[in-house]
Amino acid sequence: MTSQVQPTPPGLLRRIRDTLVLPPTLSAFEQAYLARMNRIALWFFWGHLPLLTALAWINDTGPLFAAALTLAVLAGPTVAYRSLRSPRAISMVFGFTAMCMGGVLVHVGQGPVQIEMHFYFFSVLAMLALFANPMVILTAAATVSVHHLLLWFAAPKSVFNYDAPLWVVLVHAAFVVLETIAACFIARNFFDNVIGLEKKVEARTAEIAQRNRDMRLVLDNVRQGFLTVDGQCRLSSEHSRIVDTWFGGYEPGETFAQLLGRADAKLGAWFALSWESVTDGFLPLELALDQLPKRARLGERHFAFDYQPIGDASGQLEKLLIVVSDVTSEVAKAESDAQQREILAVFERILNDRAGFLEFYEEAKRLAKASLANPAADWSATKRHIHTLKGNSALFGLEAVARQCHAIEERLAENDMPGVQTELAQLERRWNALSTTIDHLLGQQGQELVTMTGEEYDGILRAVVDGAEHADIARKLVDLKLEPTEQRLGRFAEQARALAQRLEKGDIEVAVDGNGLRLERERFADFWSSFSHVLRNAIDHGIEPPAQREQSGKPPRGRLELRTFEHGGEFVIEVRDDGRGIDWEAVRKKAEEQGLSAQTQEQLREALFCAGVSTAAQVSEISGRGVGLAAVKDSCAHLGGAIDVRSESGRGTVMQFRFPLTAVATKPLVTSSKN
Amino acid sequence: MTKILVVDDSATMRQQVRQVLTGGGFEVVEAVDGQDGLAKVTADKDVKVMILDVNMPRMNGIELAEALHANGRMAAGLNVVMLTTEGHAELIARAKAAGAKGWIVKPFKPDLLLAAVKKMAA
Repeated sequence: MTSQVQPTPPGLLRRIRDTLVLPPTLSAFEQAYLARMNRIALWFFWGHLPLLTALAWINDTGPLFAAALTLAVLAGPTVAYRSLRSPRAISMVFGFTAMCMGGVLVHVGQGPVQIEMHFYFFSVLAMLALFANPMVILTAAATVSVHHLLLWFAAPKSVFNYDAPLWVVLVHAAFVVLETIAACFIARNFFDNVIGLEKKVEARTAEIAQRNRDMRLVLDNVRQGFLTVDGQCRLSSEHSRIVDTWFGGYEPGETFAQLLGRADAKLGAWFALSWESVTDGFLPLELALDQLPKRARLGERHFAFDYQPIGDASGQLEKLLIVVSDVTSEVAKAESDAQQREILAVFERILNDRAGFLEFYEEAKRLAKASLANPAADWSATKRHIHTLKGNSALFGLEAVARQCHAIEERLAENDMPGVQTELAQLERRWNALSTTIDHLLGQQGQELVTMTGEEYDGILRAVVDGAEHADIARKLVDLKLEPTEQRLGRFAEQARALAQRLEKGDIEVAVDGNGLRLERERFADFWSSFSHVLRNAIDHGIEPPAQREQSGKPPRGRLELRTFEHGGEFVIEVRDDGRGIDWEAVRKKAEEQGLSAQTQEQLREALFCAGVSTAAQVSEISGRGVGLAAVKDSCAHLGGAIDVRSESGRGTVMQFRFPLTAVATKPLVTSSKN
Repeated sequence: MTKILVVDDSATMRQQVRQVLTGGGFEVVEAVDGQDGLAKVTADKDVKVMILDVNMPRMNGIELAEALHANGRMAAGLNVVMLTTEGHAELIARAKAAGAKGWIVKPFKPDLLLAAVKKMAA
């Protein structure tokens, strides 16, 4: 068997009591309502004084006595009104007063209409329901019952104009009881549904206010800014306080774009424009939301924006939740990580290839000095220097320096001179810090060291012991200071692989073949420095991403060949890639744009190496500004060399840098260890 | 098949857009600059959507949009979408004033580009 505990319903008496007695607390609304009703009631009953006096005078029942009697009745509510604090208690005094006033009326109304005067009790009893309190009606009913019975006994003339028996008094009482029940019911309902409603609303409001306070607490104490905008991009007033701190105070009715615009006009304009796409409905919502600004820098702070659309039932955008985060510390951490990586990269370079690094460093120092000392003196020179510094730094793993140079180039491209100055100052800070570290790592001002392998040492020793020709020994010693091209190309190969990874070109294959040739380090320094542009071009613009290569039926891994060899009395440095080939059409367009003639293939080749001609679809951190190849051409020409370019669309490009042996090889500039 | 004209001076960019759109079942026609684009769109009344680079030799994207706006081709149902890098608000505002329906920031996400073209072609 199962038993269920049912709550016992309250008994009838309890229910009657709960109906008649109001809950003890008064709402502000009830307080105000009763104060008003009590004041009206006081005026109403004082209005009885002239009326009753006049009635007594007309009816000849003693006006003075009537006035005295009325004043005596009025004393009660007047004193209560002044002295009692509870408006409900005052109302109850009016219940008593009303019935006493009825008694006075019936008394002074003696004569033929005395019975009709009893109507007063019934009307006033009904009116008392206006106090919205059953106890007022009960007070009145009790008063009238006792009063009627007592007077019927003591002074029947005051009550009846005929000799009424007890049952008549009881009939009167029965009508009073009936009306009392109804009036109590009305008063209580009036209280519950009108006066008490205010209380319910108040409770609900308090609950909502509490919830709002909780919500505010959350909004104001998280480190993110939450805000919503409506379909017109207007900010809702409920948003995290931190948003005001970040972007300045919010003005009611303004849009988020306006708020941002006050902090940064460009950002505001960009937001307003992207918002248009969100609302005009031409683009898919997902794309339009994806194009809203995601990052912004205001002064020293960095912010990230995240957007969450809130749709209505039909899927239309109703509101947009914007979450703003201060990512300054993340950005600073990423920056400091990059700087750490830079120092590690430097350390690794110095250990593995001191000579190569020194060369890079000497040039970088020169470029940094040239571009930072007085950048405004010659902007085009500064631009070139920054570009070369960027390229070289990227190849030697100095990511932060490369990125900073890129930021300067971006500002330069937009002609944002104050921005250029800010970024230059930042580059200077970074460069100074980095070069202090590098100098420290290099020790003795980075003097050139001659390194040799044990095998080489043995070879020279053997030559000396065997009494070889001085010229032969001298040649072996000179060789030590010459750089094997294979070592140099190996360095480029390593950088090329890293670059390909960064540019999402996959793990490319790089073949190196120096053919045992060596070159004078210092004489070729400029050429090698600009040579990196050729590599960057081959990887950035030539070699396609793996997926694209597969679609064109190529092996997914891109291939790059770096070679040096002698051919027909020339010393050749060759770069060969199996990428998409040069887009000659685009070169022609760019050349014409620059006012160059580009009719013949020869002219096109010429244009490829001109400053300002870049066919890159997109300017990247690595290449695309049309500066690089012009530098290669200059340094090649400086050494008396020529450039040969062969490119086949879809198949790849071969670039050869040819130097006459007679020009480079004033002995022993080029030597072949094979011979 | 709905015909889409891609006007961009970069072969790489044209190839990337073509790859995405042909994959989505569109027929793609290419033009290498603004004048070429104007000639091709004038000759081929079937082109429904035009994807337009901003910076191009001979006639840039904005000028082309303005020309198509002036000659009534846009009103005749050609939808123009600009391809641009982020941050050039004033250029986009000009293109929109000339009737371009939308703009897509480079580098684009293939699925979103396709979704946009599908919506424009519908």
